[in-house]
Amino acid sequence: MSALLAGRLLLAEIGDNFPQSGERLGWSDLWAWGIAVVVGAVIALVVVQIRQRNDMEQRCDNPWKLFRELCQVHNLDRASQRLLAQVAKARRLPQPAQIFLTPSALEPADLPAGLRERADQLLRLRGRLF
Amino acid sequence: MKPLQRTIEALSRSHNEAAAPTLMAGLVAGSGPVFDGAITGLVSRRSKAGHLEVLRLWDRLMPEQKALVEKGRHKMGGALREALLEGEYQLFYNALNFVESSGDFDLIPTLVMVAEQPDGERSHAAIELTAKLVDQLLHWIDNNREPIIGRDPATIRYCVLESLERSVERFREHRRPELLESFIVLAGPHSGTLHNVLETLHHPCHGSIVHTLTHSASDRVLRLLTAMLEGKEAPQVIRNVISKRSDRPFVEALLAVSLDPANAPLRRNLARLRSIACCEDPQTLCVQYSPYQQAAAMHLLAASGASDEQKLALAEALLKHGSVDSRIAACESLRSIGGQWANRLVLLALGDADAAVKATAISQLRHRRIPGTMAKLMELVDSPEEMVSSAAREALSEFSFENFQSRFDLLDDEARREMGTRVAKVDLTARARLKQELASPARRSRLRALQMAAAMDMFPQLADALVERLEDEDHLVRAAAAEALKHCKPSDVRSGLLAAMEDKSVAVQNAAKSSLAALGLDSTSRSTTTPMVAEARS
Repeated sequence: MSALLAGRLLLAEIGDNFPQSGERLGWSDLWAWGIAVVVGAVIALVVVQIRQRNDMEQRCDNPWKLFRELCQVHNLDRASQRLLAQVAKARRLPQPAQIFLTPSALEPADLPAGLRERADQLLRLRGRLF
Repeated sequence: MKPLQRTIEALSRSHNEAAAPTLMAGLVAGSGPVFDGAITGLVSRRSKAGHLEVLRLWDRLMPEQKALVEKGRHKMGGALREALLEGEYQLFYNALNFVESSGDFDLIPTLVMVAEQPDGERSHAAIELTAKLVDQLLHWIDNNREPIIGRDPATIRYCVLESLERSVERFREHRRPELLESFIVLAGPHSGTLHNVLETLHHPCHGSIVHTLTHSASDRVLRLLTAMLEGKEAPQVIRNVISKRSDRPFVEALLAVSLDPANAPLRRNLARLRSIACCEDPQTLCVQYSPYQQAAAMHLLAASGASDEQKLALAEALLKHGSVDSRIAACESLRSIGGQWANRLVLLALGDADAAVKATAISQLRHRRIPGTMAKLMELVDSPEEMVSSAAREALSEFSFENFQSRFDLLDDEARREMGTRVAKVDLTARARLKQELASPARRSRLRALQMAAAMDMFPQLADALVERLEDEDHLVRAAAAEALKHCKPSDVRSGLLAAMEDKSVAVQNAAKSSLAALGLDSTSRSTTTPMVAEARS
């Protein structure tokens, strides 16, 4: 063990005393690089996640992804998607995508007050999906 | 494209497994476009749970909805198998109905497994459907058509047969003879497995297969039996079954077999049959079967290895009570059988009301050497029935003009007369040939023709040719012709004879005079000299 440590120290000192050599680097000098690498990895992960989220060709069993796939098929904007998702949740549909096969689910009458107020929007959506 | 349609299409194609439960939820609608769309979507996905859900609804679907489901049947194999093997009551029957209506032959191995199960009701339903599908498959093969599922029927047959063969091997465990029937008809007459079972007495299936072959009235089983009879080396057990069966469907199938003389295996197999049950009851045969079938039965028995007594018994019954066709067949079958009984039957046929039967009997008379045959045949030559007289002439074919002509010089007068009169009666060409000979350039031939005509007693029929010979260049011919004319009708020959009275040959004049006298005509009258004769004289 002591021989190994002695070897490592010798290796660390190998660049000492060269005419143009700077000061010896310590662990604290690598923080900036480390942070950059971590940020890069996080960004890559997020990108991969986003790509996977929107890759409809990938095999999976994800009800909300299917919901988004159907929203894409019908070219629904963000607001409509949000509204449909709220209705699906309010109706407690076991499969959120079921909303695309259930015209009665978009009937405002028996929806919570918040959604009932958006009856016009719901009826427009129903006309668009069915 | 409508929005709902777009949704369904997206759900059908989605790689997301959540699409199946979503579509299954759509089935709650019960009817309408969402329901139909959900069915379409589910059957186009590979989802066993979804398919099972659709199958559960099968009995409640409208025909057009069923058509939607059938479009996806090639993806539903797994669900159908599960429904058939483990499905609850309604699901099982729905699957069964679906298989039946879609004609999915791939499910036959599964059906065979169900059929082998101890559950009586399900097992019987599966057996019934297996038989139906096998029949349907054979129908496709017979008509050389491709099934809707788009696969080669021969390949399907191979796969189905394999599963049925395995079932045959398991027969000891399941004891379902109905499956054997499906196997038999699909295996066909050349199946090695079937031949093996038939030839191995101790095979577990042997008894059941023989029982099926003996009792089944299925068209295909009957066809198999007749095909085996027509094929190479029918096994002993098949020959026994054919010998013993007398039920109407089988007899009809057997009597429809064409006895092609070129089919040597059929002839060989028939020759090895010692009896044919349906031929042992002529009364039923005459009453219940068509004229064609009665005749076919006689032909079949005649070609079989049955005893002459059996053949004669049927022939006698048919000659007495059968149809015209069968009487002809009976008569024909006697040809190869000798003896008193056969001779008696030929004479019986000779008295038949139908000319064709008589003609068939006549053709056998000579070689049987029955006393009085010659006289009878000569008598039949004069029959008003064309068929009978031709048959008699055919039987007496040695009395031909050629034969008579070639032997004429060797015969004495008595023999010439005897043969000549027969030839005149039998050979319809005799008159024309004599005329030809009378006009021959050879003097000897002309003179011999006159002698032959005399022996044949044919002068009256040759009056015109004899009158022409009165102008022959040879006076001997002219004299012989003049002499012969006394046998003719006076009105036909008078003028010729009167002209011959002025012939330069005294012999001719004398002969003409003698003939005129014999005919009771006045030799002094010359009113009707023909211009030709006058010209010849000048």
